[in-house]
Amino acid sequence: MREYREKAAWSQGELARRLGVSRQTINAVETDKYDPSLPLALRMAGLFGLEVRELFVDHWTPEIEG
Amino acid sequence: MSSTTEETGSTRKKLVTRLLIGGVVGYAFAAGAVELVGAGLLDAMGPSRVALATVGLVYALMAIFVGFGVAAPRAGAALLNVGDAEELREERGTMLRSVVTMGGMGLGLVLLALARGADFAAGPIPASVAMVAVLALILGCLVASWRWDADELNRQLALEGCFWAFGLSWAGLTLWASADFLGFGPALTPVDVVATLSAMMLVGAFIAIGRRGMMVR
Repeated sequence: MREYREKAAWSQGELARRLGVSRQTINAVETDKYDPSLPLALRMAGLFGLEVRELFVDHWTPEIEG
Repeated sequence: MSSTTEETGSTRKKLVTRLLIGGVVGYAFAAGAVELVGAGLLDAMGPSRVALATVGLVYALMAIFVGFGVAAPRAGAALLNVGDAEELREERGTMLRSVVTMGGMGLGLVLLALARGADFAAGPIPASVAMVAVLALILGCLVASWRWDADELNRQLALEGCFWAFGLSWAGLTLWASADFLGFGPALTPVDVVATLSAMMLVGAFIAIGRRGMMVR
């Protein structure tokens, strides 16, 4: 997310204000210390004009049975 | 040296600096409190009241640290767990609420510890004053919790902190009460319960923050 925020030339404080959360939350998400809720992830992605899966990487893959 | 190694080194340095400053100020604060109360009164208080007062002083000390950060953001940023001075300015309202809540908690616990009672006739605080202070503290905390407008990270940290606080309090108090009941340990007094719950609220918060790697930024 840091990459997209920096592309938009927003500080963490600016992004926090736009999303209605604390700067601590933005910092924790960017440093992988906190996974945002689905509503916040949707808002974050929407703000950058992206899909959630473009903004957040999940390395989980489903196990295939049989 | 990689940037990650540099960051880790800087984070460790920050943590050590904060611990040292906290230790020195805490020692001075405790020494000042003992000087103010007097060694004789401290002996008369007994271990339960001293433990309660100590927990109260820790809350008061934290309120002072945060208050200092709000009053002097640049110096406060070096001391508190924030990104920079600007964050302290942005979060001024939240920080001030913390100062009032923790300061009130500290004051309430210290007044309770110093209250006159059957076991502590030399107590400088009338029992009725301490009772009113505790009632005001509980009412204040209820109102503050009801009106608390935290964002989702802080709500999550509070939930995790409460989980640890409850678990540790349950384990500690159950063990202590059982030992007392079975004649194996020291008596568990009512203020021991208050001191344990209040202390574990702080410990739980630190565990929740520490487990997320957010102790130092």
